[in-house]
Amino acid sequence: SQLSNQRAAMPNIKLQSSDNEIFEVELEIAKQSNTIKTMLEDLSVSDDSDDPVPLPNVNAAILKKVIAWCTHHKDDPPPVEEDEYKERRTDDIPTWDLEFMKVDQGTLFEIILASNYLDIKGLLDVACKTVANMIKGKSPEEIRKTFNIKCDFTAEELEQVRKENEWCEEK
Amino acid sequence: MWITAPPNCRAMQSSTGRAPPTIDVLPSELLMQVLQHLTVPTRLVCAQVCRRWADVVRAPVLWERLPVTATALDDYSTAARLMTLATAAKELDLGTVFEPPSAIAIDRAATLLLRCGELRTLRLLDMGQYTGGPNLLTVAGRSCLQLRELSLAECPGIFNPEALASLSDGCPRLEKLELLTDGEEIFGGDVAQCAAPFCRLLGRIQVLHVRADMLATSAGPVAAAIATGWCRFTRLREVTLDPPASPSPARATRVLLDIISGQGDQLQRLTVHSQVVTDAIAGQIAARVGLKGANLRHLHLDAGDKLTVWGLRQLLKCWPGLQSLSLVHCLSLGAEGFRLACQELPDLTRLRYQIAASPDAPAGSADVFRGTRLPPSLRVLQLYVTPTDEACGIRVGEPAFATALGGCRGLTHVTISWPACDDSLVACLLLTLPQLQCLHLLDCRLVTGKAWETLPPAGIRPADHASAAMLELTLANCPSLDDGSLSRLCTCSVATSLNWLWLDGTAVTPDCLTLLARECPSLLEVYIRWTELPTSNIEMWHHAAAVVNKNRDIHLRIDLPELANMGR
Repeated sequence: SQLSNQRAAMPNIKLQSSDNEIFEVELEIAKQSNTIKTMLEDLSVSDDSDDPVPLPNVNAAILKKVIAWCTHHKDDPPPVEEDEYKERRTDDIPTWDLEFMKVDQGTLFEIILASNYLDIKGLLDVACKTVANMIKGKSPEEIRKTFNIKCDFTAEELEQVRKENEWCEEK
Repeated sequence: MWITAPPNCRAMQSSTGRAPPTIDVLPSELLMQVLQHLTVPTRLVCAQVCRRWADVVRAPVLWERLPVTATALDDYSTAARLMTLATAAKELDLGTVFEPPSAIAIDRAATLLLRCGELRTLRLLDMGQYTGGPNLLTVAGRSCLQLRELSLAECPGIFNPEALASLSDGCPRLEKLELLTDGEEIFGGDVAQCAAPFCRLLGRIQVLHVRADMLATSAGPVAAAIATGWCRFTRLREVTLDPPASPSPARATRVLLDIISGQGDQLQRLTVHSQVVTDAIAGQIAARVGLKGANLRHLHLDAGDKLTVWGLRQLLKCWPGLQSLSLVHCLSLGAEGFRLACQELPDLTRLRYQIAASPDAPAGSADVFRGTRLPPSLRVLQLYVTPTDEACGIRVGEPAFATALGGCRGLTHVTISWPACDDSLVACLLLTLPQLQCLHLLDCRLVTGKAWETLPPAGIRPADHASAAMLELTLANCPSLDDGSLSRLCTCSVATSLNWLWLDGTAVTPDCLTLLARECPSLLEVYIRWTELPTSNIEMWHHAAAVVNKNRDIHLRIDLPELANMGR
């Protein structure tokens, strides 16, 4: 109970990025990451020591983005069904997230890796959808160009794969 | 959030100079998560990008949900590709968009189904039984042993004795059945032989969604068997009845009453989207449920004007345990029906109610909330007074309003669409419900800024207000609302917590953006819209939005009607 008392008094924890930057965040915000939540529970990271939780797979720039996302989604209101005004604003990606995802490709992929490692499902979903939107409506060549991918098929393979994936409908 | 960084950290970061990561850093399982958000043809385009992507597209997990149109099956190579994908499918949509499927498409659909051993959900749209062609349900009964949900829309003749027997025997886990056929007979073959296997199938179903009169207009022997069979369909928990196709409601009514007689004590959710529930029917329902007791938790009625307060009282008496009640288009219920629902249902958490007002509304409707207390368990209240004509006689007194809402400590979501709702009522609402998180005011034409004046000032939250704070506010079709109203809003406690604001059909000007950005520290999104031409011009809005976005990260959406763009 002494532990829980201290927790109530000090609801922040420190997170350490791969490049040794320290971020102090509210416990509730950090716990949106199932990885951090499990770490705190299983490894019984001691509360009185001021040691930061090391996150060796996430650099400071990305961790900052992740914390911003978790802060915004900290207390999303419960969904209300059947509300006409609510329905009109539900796009596939909420507008705040849409703005949040306006980053360069490198950052976007790092957010995907980080949210996967930290196990934050909402963020992973929205980041994957953002990449999917960049693929929609493009030809294979346009996709390669967009993501700077080298075509490693031989000429025969390419012909084969084209046949194999032929589709008669409009995309 | 506090950020503490060692000195030179940023400098170090930029000096590492490594190339930015490309999509190649994503391991295959993450690339797959991206592709899951794409349609079938787009995924197949992705397979042609490079070797790694081709491998990922081949992974079975990617193909658990498979939407297929009949025209895709007409093409040989497309059909061939689908055959290889189908083995992993758990959810299959097979249907046509414009024209009926070709004989070839039906044949191939059958072959496709034979490969779907893992299927949980099958939806068929206009893929009925064609002379000489295979029956898709017969095939499903042989191959889809895991099937849980079946949905049929416009599939004439697809239920024949063989197909029904095949489903009953082959799909022991089937529990949800949707029959959205409109008009054409779903039963075919030797219809008399359909009755027994269809009833066997219904005996397994927990969730049934059907056009109200379909089960009664079906070929005689089937209808007769269903009518006497309801007491044996013991797994039924949720029933949705769509509007009947025939103008005479008698058959639809009979189905409803038969269901209630047979399973009235088992049902948990009942939705009736048709105007068959009249006073007489409500009385009969009550009589049938009465002796058995009832477990109904959710009731949605879209009932028309033949249900009066008398009928509603009969219904609520037999279902006192309702947790959600939705009554729309019940034009005769008026304010009295609302009071009745509040009185009779102590466990209600969600109430959606439409009061139809007319100049000759019943006399008792003058003050909706007088003598009413809303159930303390209520969390969501949606109240619509229609038509939105100011002449209508539905009024409300402020003290009655406060008393009615006073006990609802958990009420967090309120929607009010009500022309007579004025400033004093809104103020009363805000003071009575400090825990309110979302407030949507629609067609409240009298609301101005005065509503906010009685609230505690910004930044201060009295003890009462500590539990929660308003996050969402909608003010739609409130023409009296202008910049002055918003500046008053900005001085009170709502401004501190507000995340999201929708202004639709108000008289605000571009100046309000600067104000909101300055005074509402939590604001994330503002949506402003007009249905008629606003007085301020579009460049001014653009300019104001640009200025705001220099300092604040607020998402602004400003929709002007097209006329405004052309005119200026």
